[in-house]
Amino acid sequence: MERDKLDANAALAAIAGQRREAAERLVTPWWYHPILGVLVGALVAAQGTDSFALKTVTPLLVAAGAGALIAHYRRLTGLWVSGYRRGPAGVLTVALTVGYLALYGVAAGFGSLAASIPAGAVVVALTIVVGRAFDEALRREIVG
Amino acid sequence: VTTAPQFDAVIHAPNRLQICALLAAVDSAEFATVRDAVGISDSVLSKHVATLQEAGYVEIRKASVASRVRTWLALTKAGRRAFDAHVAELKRIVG
Repeated sequence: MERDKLDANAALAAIAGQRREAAERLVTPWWYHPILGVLVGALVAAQGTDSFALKTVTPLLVAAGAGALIAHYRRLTGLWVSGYRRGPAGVLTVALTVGYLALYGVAAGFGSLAASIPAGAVVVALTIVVGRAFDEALRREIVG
Repeated sequence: VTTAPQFDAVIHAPNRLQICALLAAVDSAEFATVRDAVGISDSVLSKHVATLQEAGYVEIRKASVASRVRTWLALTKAGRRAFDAHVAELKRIVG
């Protein structure tokens, strides 16, 4: 009985060790969120122009840039965690998505650079602040 | 939803327990990352992954990046359930 307890304790300690290992590896480079913010911000800011070419090219550039960022993050950490997960980190992802949609709506609704550029700037700031809060929440959740 | 405690001999082996613990913490992990985190060789990890795959607990995905094939591992739904039940059993034993 006592031996089972010791064995179970050792197993739980090993599990906790791997959770810490995962949390330590999930470190986002400092430039990750600023670049992501600029990409999404550019998409939002482009809604204020009348240029069809700019409105067409920007989503493609944003998709390619975001794809490259994610691929780099996966290579760097060797891990992948979806943002849309249960818990506080997932709530932050949903909040960021809602913020993006709202600001995109504002920029597209006004249809002028006077509105879309400030909206794009807010997207950059929001991505940096929420992105870093997400990282911290995620690491806390993983360590448990 | 609470998980019913259930000891799982496939998961309980020390290396496999650590592999499952790492995979349970994330959505997926690269083979080399799991190898380094657990501190075992490629061949030992391959054997354990094969055992976990046979039990339906782990799935393998291959991804080509810059002409290099990388192997990614993930717990299946059954694997996640079994791991959670095993952890619940360990906690029950500890009391």
